[in-house]
Amino acid sequence: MKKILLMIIISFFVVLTYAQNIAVIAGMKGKINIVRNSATITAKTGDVLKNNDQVQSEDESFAAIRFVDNGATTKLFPNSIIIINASINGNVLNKSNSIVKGTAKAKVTPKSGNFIVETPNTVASVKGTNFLTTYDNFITTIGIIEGEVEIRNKTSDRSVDAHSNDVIQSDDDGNITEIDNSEYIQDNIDDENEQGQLNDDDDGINSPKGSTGDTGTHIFEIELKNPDGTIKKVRISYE
Amino acid sequence: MNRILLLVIILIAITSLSALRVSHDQLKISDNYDNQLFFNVNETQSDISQITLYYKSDLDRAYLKKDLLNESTLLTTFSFLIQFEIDEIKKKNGTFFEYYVVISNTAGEVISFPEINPEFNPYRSPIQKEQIKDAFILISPDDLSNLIEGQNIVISMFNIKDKLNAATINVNLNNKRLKTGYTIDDALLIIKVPKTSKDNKLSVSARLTDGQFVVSPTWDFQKKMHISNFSYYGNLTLLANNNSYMNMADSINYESNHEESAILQVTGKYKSIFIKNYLLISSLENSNNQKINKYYLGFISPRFDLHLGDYSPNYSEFTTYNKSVEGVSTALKFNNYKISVSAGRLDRKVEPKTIDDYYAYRSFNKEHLSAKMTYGNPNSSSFSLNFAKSKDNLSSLQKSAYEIEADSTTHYIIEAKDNLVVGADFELHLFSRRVNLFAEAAMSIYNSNINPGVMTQEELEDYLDETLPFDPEAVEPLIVVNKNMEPFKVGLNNSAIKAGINMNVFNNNLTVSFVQTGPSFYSLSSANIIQDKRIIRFIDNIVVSNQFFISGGAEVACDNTVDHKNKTLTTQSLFMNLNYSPAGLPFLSLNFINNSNKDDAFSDDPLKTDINNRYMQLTTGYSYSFLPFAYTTSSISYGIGFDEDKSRARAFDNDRNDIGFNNTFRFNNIPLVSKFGILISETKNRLDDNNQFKYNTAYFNNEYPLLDNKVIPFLNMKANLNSEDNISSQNIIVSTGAKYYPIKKTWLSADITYKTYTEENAQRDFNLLAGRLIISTSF
Repeated sequence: MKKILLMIIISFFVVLTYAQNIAVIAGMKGKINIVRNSATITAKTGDVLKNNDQVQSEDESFAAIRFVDNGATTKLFPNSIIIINASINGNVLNKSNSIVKGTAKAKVTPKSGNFIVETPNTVASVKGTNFLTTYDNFITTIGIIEGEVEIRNKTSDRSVDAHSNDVIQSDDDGNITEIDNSEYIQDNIDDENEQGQLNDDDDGINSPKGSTGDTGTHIFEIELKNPDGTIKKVRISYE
Repeated sequence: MNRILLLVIILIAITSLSALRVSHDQLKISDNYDNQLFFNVNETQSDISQITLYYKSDLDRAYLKKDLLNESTLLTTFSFLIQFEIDEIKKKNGTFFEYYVVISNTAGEVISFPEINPEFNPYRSPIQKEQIKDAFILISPDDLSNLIEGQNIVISMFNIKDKLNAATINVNLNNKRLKTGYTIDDALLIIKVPKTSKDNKLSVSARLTDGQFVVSPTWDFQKKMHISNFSYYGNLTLLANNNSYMNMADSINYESNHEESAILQVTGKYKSIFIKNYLLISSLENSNNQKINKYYLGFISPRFDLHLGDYSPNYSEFTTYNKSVEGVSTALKFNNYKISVSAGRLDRKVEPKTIDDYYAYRSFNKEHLSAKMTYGNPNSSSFSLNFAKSKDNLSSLQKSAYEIEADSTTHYIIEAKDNLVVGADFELHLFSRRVNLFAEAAMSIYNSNINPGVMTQEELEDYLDETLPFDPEAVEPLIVVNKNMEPFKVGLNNSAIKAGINMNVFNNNLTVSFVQTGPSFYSLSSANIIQDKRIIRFIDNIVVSNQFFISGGAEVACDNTVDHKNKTLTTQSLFMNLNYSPAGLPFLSLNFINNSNKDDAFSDDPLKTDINNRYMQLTTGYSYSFLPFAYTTSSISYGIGFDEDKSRARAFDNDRNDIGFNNTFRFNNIPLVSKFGILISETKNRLDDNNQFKYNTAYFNNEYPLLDNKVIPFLNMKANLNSEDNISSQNIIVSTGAKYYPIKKTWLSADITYKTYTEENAQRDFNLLAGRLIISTSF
């Protein structure tokens, strides 16, 4: 009987500590850290993420986190911290992102399992959309780029359905309101573009013209036009 | 045994042509609904009592049995759900669901489907297998264009995770199966980018537990190739020149000559260390003269520099500047400190083979030591102390090579020098180097002849008739003190100073500077020293717009810095240049220069200098395509000038006029570029009608690029028709050759020039045939 009990306890802990591969760093720029079991690892593209991994971005750093079912990509903005989790339910992967601080942008493929973005005071659950979430100074701001998101305040349990271009703020006091701040979405997208990051076509991080990629290579393009109208480009790359 | 018995019964039943008639259509398995078997009893003499299904996978030999009905019933239509049995067979990865059915009634009549040999000839219903989309999904990295060796390529197998047979996974790189270098972790296939070529194709395949074979798309990825820690570039140039003089007049004696030389330059980088190399080998190298061959090897790192061979340290303008030191130069660099030291020789010893040939060139080893200590950051502000010591080494030559005795007197064929310079300089850069301030001061001690050696204190006190506070012999390592020393006194006489400001503001590049060197200031290790000179300079370059540039300046110089001469010669220069190139309109260029050289002697002094030169030139030109055969650029310039001697001598009062006309034709249908021009210049002295100069030049240059610019032959002709003091001369030059680019980064050029100079009185006639060959390659 003792052996059976021991087996049950061991099995319980094995289940608890089982670290399932749930996502991958699909692209990054700058310095990204992964905190796993209290140990900090410097991330690089292709690193596999497991349940409860905390991903941290430093100044001018970005990361694209892609879940293993290819059903969602979470893009982490500079100076942000996120904890990711996922669980398999049949053939789908239910995903959860907890923003500790900063901003993340999520793009979700429809019918690919539940997708939740959580902050200390707010939960946003979606099934196929593209939206931004910022947790800063105890206030959660969510901007819907496209699709529909159900947003629930954890304190008051009040919820609202947010649609494309809506910006919702939620706080520790239980308030959840739509605000008039269209710049929130545009500013973040501009920041993303200025940093040469997070192309929505491929959800990845590429090195654009005149920027620095994670290899430290700068590229400039100079366009030259001949008198006959022929355009030639001179590309200069340097490290 | 039961089956055999059953078959016998079936056969008997069939052959007995029983009255039991049932219809059944073969099962068509669908994945869209639960599959059923249907039977319809058309004729029977009694109730149906049993329906049995026998089924198996095509991979199996034995049938499984399922009783669909095992009790009598009056029903004549039957349907039986057999999805469980089908799923059971699917798991066996079979391609077909094979079955037959035996139906019997209470009268003992039996019928089977199929009717003939059903056990050996069963129905074969194809199993529809689930088509899996996106079995393999590349999820990292997004950008496959620049992968690093060892980087992860992550492929998700999430969609096939439940049917995956990991042992069947096949990773193909460039059509070859990878045996190592990948791991399967949960539903992820993680492939480490291996050592491989730049362009690669990757694909993955696997057989699933249901037998299905799944294949990924082919992913193209580029590997970032390993960059060697050592990189380099350079070029090698080989040069041959030959000048042959012919038909020379008796009064001239030009020597035919030739030179062959090779120049190799290589610059490399290893991690943070730059490596530089320069090598010049010339056939003109001759031990009877200063060296022409040069070699240099340098290592430049963030903390330490080492220069070996011929190197110009350029520590400061007044100490060590633009003079090649053959030896060792180093620099030790800290955040705010830099110490540089250079040791070697400025000149090498040359001892003529025939020492008695007093006209033969000879030279001591001129040994050199200099140092510079800098505090601060050269990009913001820095202060430096400088030191340079240069001294001819008497022992490097035999005494007879530099000293002779005649008439009980010692004569020196060459005089050895000794020179010590100390100084300081300062730089301040403000506003991102838009405003730059600089200053330097230095003081020198110089001995123009140390051949007699150092004087004793007693000798020197007798010579100067005063008591000296030091012993000259004690300071000999610093400077040899004897009668040939430049008088030394702390002050401007032995000093050089400079200061200035450079500003890049408001599209202006403005420099204002002041420099003064005393008459006794010498620095043998600087190429920029002119004794006894004070120069105040103002230069401004203004970019008004992309089409309009103005530059101008003024300079005042004098040659009596410490007021020790009877008269001071002052030179004043003023110049200005305007360039205006409006789009689509003719360009304009205006140059003006005014020089005056004047001393402060009395006007009746016969040696007084008072000369003024003034010249102005206006040029205009235009590019046009009026000519049907060529795009043409034409320009015309007109210049006017005056040179006047205002002194008592009144040696000249010239009027100058010149006009030039230049054309460039770029032909439309052939790759020919032709240039043609003439310049007519006349200078007339108003004070003497016989004193006239005429210079007329015409040139015609042609370039004809062939084979996509790989071969560029040329033919140039130039003729000068001159007249000086009524003596006419002509100078005709014809040259032809070609430049050839046989392979990338390599070119060779060969040309030959024939020059003929003839003069009216034939006293200076000559012909010159010159040939030149250059081969240059870069790597």
